[in-house]
Amino acid sequence: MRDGLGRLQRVVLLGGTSDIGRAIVDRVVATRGVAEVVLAGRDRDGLERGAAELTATGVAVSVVALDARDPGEVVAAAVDECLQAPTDVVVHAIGMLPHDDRDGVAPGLAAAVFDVNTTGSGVMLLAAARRLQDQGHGTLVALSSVAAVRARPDNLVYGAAKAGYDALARGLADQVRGSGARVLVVRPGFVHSSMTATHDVAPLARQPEDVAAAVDRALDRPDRPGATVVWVPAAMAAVALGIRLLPGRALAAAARRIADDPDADHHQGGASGNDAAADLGADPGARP
Amino acid sequence: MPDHSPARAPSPASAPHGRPPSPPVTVRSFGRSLAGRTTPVALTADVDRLDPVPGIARGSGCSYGDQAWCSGGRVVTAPDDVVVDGDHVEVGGGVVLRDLVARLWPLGWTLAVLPGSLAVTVGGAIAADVHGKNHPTAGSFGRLVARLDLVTPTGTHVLGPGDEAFHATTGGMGLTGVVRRARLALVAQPTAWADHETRPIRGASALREAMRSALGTHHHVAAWVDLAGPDVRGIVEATTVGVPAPNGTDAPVPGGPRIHVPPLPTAAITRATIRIGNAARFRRARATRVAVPVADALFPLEAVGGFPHLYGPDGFVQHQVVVPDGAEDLLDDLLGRYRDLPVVPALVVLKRLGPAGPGHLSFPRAGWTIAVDLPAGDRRLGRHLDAMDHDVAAVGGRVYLAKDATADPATVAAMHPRLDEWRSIADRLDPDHVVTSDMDRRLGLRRPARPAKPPGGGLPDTDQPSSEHRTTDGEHRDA
Repeated sequence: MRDGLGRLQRVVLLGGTSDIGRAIVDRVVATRGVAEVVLAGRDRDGLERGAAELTATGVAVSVVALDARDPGEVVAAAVDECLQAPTDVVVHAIGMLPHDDRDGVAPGLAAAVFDVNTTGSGVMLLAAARRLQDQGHGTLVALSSVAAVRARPDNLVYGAAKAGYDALARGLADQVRGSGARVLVVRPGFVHSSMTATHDVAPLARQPEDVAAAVDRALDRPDRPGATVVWVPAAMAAVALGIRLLPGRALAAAARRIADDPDADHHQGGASGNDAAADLGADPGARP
Repeated sequence: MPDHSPARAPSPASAPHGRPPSPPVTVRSFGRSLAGRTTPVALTADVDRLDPVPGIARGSGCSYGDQAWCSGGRVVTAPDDVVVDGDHVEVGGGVVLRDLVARLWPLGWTLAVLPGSLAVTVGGAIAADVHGKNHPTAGSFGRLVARLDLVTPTGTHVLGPGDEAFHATTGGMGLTGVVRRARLALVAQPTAWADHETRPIRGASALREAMRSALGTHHHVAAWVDLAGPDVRGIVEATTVGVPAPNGTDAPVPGGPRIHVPPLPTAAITRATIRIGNAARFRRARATRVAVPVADALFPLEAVGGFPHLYGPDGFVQHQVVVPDGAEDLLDDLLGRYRDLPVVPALVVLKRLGPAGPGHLSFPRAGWTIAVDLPAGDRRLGRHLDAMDHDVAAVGGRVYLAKDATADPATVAAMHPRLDEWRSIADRLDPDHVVTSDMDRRLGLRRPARPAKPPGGGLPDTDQPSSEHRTTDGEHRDA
């Protein structure tokens, strides 16, 4: 249970090896006296490494197997397992970001992106929100993306998948309001992380710690209908409005210009879409 | 709330007997730093056992933390009828002490134990086993209770002193069930006038000495302490009630606050305003002895309604601990540590407590109790309070559970050596752990706590890790 100073007792991270997810957990552990953390995800070794790091700071950590591409009942049961005890914060940080160039995304990979970012993640949000609503307290932090506001030609599949996720998360925020539980929908722009390591860096890029700081602040804000969405950086709200209002042709041209700009931040190249597909459970940070 | 068939577990909002379900409401701690959503249900005359729905009794909501609500569950309100019966009074658990006192004083009766706030209910006073400024001679509230009717999931239990469930209930933070009715012993109070003495004192040990000597001539003794000034100083206030009326007319009964503070957009209480206000109060104080109405002498919290709003939107927490006799060194140490906190110790009260009563979790024990109101906006406070609690536990002291909003479960367990005994009694009354509160969940009172917080949870003093300085110039980083 949250205490009178805003300190927390139990935090669950769905996507336990996510850079952004871990940054959020590390921040609340450091500043909010968290006693117990649950790391859930697919990469057993990565989870165990994370558990060892957190245990070294004095936190009790448990690890739960969770795979977004399992059948819905299996995914929901794994989320329920994470939420057996009263939980103050659930962070959902699972997603995959394919290289979506002019050649498009291979059909199998596109299906995997929808499976992970929308279907499996959506089931997790539903299960977690249900659980928090029943316990009558707690915050679900859903890592969406600026890309969810409008899918652009250079991240069409990712943006479309995140749009579904984002719509679900906002709907859940409305649904649980009044129960004592709440949902925060976090929309970062480009965040440096293992998920975006092989992608072009976009303007207003931030670090996972910046997302964590914004989420930490939002945890103390009162829950109001207008306070559901957290932009990182805050200026991204204005950028997103611009992107949403741009005609499609201009958007495509702008995306090309950024991609072709020799001064723009570089490709590290390397990772193909298939590598990204193999990296399920990485960060949901996105390109704006 | 009678039994429902097990096949249909009632939801928090479903009330028995077709009464319309009430919607959940937001409730706040008295310090306004914690809030929860919970469904109010009245304990009506036809109900003789609690439904299998998580819930806790709630009175006036005067606890400083999350004692009296159950997020996602129910809060149960008890009846508020009063019948005076000779030298006893039969009251519903929901009776507010101010209303009770207003009935009793004109008849020449009072309760031997009254807390500093008369806004609390009888049920709340029993659950917290509250004490007054006369604890050394009068004991705590549980001592007045001749009988109580406790509604639990296993039925209604009629309990009296000597029953283990009775002593688990006095000071049990409502976690044994709902006090529907209680029979309280009365004492005579010839008048509602008090002989009231004040003495400004400098220095912690001089304050203690003055309090000890005041207890030789007065029943009620407390000291207001200024910890915001250059050195420890305070005003000892000593009171004897029921003295002859100075002008032949009786004093008024407490009428509740006349001034109400509305919600404020920002805190009016800051280090600067407290420093100035405290200095003015100390400078104005004189050694005096006058006759005043009992209500003015004993119930300072009655004067201003809504004063928690002065702390702004973040609210405040109150840290109240008892330091046993013989550990005065720790008390002096604590005074210094309160002065060094990252937030101002806004209102500080020091009292003497007498020997412990029979309640398993009751707060009082022979020694000194200090209560400190602290603005809640700064999480760094947590580390300091955790460390102070740890040291208090080490000398056999306790935190006052009715005030707590910050304690560590393991420290609380260490402070209450009879916790396991209390748990087994509560489990017999409520085997399925239906009676619960957010405090119960936070501290693991009914069930052993989850792992303890790491030492030093809360912001380090130099802190606010900012990533603004980081380069974001396209360098790929792994977090």
